[in-house]
Amino acid sequence: MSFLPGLTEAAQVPDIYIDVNEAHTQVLPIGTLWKIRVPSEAKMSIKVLTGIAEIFGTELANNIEYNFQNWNFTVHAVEEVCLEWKGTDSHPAIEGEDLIPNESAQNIYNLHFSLEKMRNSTFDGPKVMIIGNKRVGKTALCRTLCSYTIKFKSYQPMFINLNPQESIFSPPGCLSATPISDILDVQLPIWGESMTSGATSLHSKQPLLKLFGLEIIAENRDLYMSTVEALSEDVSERLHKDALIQRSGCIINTPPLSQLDDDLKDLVNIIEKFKVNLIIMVGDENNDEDMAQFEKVSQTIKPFVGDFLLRLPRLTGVIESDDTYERSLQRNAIREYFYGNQNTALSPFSVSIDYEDLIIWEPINLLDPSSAGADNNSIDKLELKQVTITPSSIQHALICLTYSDKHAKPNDVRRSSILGFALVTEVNEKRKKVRILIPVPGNFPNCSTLLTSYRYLE
Amino acid sequence: NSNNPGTTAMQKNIQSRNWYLQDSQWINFNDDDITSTKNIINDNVGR
Ligand SMILES: Nc1ncnc2c1ncn2[C@@H]1O[C@H](COP(=O)(O)OP(=O)(O)OP(=O)(O)O)[C@@H](O)[C@H]1O
Ligand SMILES: [Mg+2]
Repeated sequence: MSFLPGLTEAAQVPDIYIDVNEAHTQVLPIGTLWKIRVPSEAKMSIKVLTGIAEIFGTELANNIEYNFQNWNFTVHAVEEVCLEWKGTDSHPAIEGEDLIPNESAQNIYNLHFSLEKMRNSTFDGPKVMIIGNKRVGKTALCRTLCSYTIKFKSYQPMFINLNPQESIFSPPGCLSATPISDILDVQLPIWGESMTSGATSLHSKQPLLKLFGLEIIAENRDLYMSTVEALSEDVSERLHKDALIQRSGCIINTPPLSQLDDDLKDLVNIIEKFKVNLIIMVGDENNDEDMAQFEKVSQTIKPFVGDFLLRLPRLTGVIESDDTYERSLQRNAIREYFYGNQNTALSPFSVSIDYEDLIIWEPINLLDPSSAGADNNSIDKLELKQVTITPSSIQHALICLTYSDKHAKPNDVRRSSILGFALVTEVNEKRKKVRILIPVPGNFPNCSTLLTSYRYLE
Repeated sequence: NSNNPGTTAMQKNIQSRNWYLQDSQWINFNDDDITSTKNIINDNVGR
């Protein structure tokens, strides 16, 4: 076992000055949004000289340089801001939408203060869930609310991510719950670091992950809902034990409504499981699709939350993007899990393991006709199938390591806690050996593993 | 990594991602213990 040459390269500090960038000055009038798109091959840095600027609710310190790569974000000027920026792209701001008044700001403040009121008046804080169609700003709203919650008082809200395609404190394919006990990292699309063995520049977070593993919820709804349920059980125990988190409440991010079942049974189920007592539906009054959706949701969930369903217009900050961008965020999250980022470089470890020592299970993918069991209606959809190891089945795959023993029964593997992730870098059919990247130095853990749908090529 | 003496020296200089906590450990975890990230070591690798 050794460190492969070149493996740590990705984690080395990218030198933003290589392209010798001149410093540009930008003034943001009070209450405006500066919309920025930094593509994956570009780099950008921002230093606030005067004034208060926020990124998703987190304030930027003055005279500190923040670095950005492969990310669409907005800077909100709480007061007039003067900043200095450098970048490989001479026009990072989005044309035609740049420096617009942040019309969502007041709505978000109002929402935050009503949550604050609920926290002040009870020991059992608000459990707010954000729902809506695709790309309306659900995740941005969650992130901003989390930041505001810890900004003014020493609360610790529990952030819950139910969208497996988003990687927040984790690689993609997971549902997660993370107490937000300190500031989020404005530079990171994944919000911040999960725990590492050493010092990180900002306070890291301790997420609880449950693996869904597939990409799209419709590939196995039963599995998705059972993953949600498992997460809700652990969250409810944690709330029970942790008075501060309980009082601070939960902020729940959801997948686009179109990905849940048509009759909204899953949505109702989620509301009940997490004891949701406030739902914010993000959608526009003049958008017919949004309003039709809002009507439908209202009727279905009224019996469960009564008047505690509110509508918020689409966020002004939303930046149009596509699936390619989403995929690049997923790739980044995988790379970041193993290699860290420009502030915290991590060194993963490469191990070689025999075919026979690697036990991999995979869930049933109902939309994939070649998936074992997909065509059989009478089968238990939560059942796991053992993966036959071949180059084509696991090459470049992200696999999930569990706390269950190598010889554990599939049902126990499915319910097991997640130890971490590994990446298959090479499958040698002749020697029947697999080379795998693991995050922690040492032997490959003696555990059962689960195959995810995610692939990552260095 | 206290359970694996062979890697101790390496871990002093080289930082890596921790294994996640077991569900039951997470339920009982107190985030106030994340005060100084410098002192956090992998103590849940006992497998
Ligand atoms: N202040 C902002 N408010 C809203 N969106 C923002 C803001 N700044 C940047 N964006 C960008 O707009 C895009 C859409 O926002 P977001 O991801 O929050 O929507 P969503 O409803 O969660 O989307 P999805 O349904 O795909 O999960 C993202 O790329 C996000 O980075
Ligand atoms: Mg989202």
